[in-house]
Amino acid sequence: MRLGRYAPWLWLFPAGALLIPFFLIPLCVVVRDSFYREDPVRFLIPDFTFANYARVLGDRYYLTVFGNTLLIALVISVIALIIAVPFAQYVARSTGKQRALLLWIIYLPLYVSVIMRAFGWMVITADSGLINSTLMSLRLIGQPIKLLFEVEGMTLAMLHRYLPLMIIPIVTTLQKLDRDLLKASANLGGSRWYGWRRIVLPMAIPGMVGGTQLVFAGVLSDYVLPSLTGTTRFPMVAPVIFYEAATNGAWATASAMGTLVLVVVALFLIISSLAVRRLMPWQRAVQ
Amino acid sequence: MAGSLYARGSELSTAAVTSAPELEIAAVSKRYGSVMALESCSLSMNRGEILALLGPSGCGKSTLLNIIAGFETSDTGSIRLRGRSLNDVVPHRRDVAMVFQNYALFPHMTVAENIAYGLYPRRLDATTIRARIDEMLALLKLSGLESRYPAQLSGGQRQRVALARALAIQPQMLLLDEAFSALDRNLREEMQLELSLLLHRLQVSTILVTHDQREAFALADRIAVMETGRISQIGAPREIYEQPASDHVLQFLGTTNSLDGIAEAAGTTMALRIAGGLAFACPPQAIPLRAGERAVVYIRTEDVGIALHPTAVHTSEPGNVSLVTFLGAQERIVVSLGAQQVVIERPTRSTSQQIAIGAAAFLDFDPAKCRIAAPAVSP
Repeated sequence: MRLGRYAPWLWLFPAGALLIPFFLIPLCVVVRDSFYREDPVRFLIPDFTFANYARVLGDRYYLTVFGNTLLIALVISVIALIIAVPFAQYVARSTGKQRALLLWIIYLPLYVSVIMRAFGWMVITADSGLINSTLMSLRLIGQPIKLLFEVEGMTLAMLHRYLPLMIIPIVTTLQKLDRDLLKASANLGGSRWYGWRRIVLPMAIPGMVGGTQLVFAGVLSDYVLPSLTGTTRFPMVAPVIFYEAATNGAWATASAMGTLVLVVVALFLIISSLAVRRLMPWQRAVQ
Repeated sequence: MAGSLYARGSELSTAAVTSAPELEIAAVSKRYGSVMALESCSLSMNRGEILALLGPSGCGKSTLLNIIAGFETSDTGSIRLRGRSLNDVVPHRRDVAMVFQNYALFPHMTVAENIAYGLYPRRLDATTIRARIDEMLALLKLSGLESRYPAQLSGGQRQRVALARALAIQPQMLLLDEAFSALDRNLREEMQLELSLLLHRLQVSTILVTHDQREAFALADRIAVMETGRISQIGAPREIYEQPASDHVLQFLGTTNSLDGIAEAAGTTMALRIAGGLAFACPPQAIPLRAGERAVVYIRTEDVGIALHPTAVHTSEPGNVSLVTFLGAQERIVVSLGAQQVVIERPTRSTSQQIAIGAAAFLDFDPAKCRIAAPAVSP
């Protein structure tokens, strides 16, 4: 049958039908708009200019916005890594009901709408919220610590949102770890710590890098949590882009910023993937 | 080169220490739920000895090995290595090195890094470690492969790395857990020969676990045959082959015919009739039988002969040759006697002396080589 020759490609049709019109084309439009000329009345005038990029990269405010966002993405990635590695290791070792429960705890936040979670965090981090009232009733603090609508509260809420994306890839890599390797380590005289450092940690690198890529890219483009739990004194890039486009009508500036975020994410993915190749020469040996 | 490394060990073994056992396992038992994995197992080993734990899967041989390595704890009993009790010693302080069935090589480390893995925790200086790696590479013929990763090695090379990694730490004892089962037959026999020479040269006390009697015979100085958590017999290979202590040991070693017979009175003694014309006087070691009782006759395939004329034990009603298989140096002939089949293995004869399928044949054997047992109670 003639169709047979094309059959493998047919499997891609549903994904393509969704992604090409609703994702790839809008993305191309954004990139295109970033080179258009900005106009107060007509918003966008077809052109090919780097003026928007020059404006964004030459402005202290925009650079601060990018710096803030990169800093938060970095901090959250590091904290998430520190929490996720031991947690994932525990999950990978557990079995049966305990494992199912732990995995469910990881997935649960993903089931709940991000808006719901944002309001949850508002309740917890408010001046009269759970954290402050607990600390005050324990007489550890005299007056509430400002968390909500501050960088601290936003970081906490974003950490909660993106932690599962760090844990899941690490659990997946650690599950594949052959238990006999740790037996062999002990058998050869390696303590638990030695075995962890020389076997578990290096073998977890793909999961750690994969998780960091997801968390980093996620934080960089998060709009909801900076808007609902953050502060305009510490602007983050996604709300600023929205503000430029929707409120200021500066579509070309917003497009240039969006494209820059895209470039930063792409660079991060490329560099971290190269780092994996570098850190794990044995992966190349397999091919 | 290896001599220098292991010199200390071999000097000791020829000195006064030889009298004290290297490893002493006393009444070790282990239970998993309602299953007795090990039931009061005891054995002792001398320095430099190679002992095989031989038995079918599930007989407890791997459990015993894991208890020695410290991966499992025994419920009762004690294990002493060079006089030191191992009962409360964590695995990484036991100084017994294991070669795993799948080798458990560290996939993210090169051959050299794998070999060096156990040396760093021993706080050796860099020069010693380097020298030890080179020595192991030479000893196991791995030179030139030191910067390869396990994924880039053949099965045989991986096994060599696993051995090098284990021997590099100069363990007090080497444990091999079905270490040859992943290799194909020719390579396996080649490696067994090489390892046997190597271990005897280095005087490393070794316990190997296997279900393959050929492997046990190829490597071991002594064999402990295990069955359902117990050690049925322990002795030199020839001893357990020629004087099996139980029906299980006999059946497990070599290939053995088990034939049904009926006891019948023959004057003052008892005779066993297997089929029409095949009967023989009960040998002295037979179990006491009364006329009409059933019994099982065990006889090894190589102990049965075949003739075209009546023999002392097979006087009439010849059997029928139903299969002749060429096995290289050996040939296997199956003779049907009524409903029973007798398997015979003998050196391959020249073409002119070959026996044809369908030929009438008489069996010949020495009744003293038979083992007579009560019939197994069918479940």
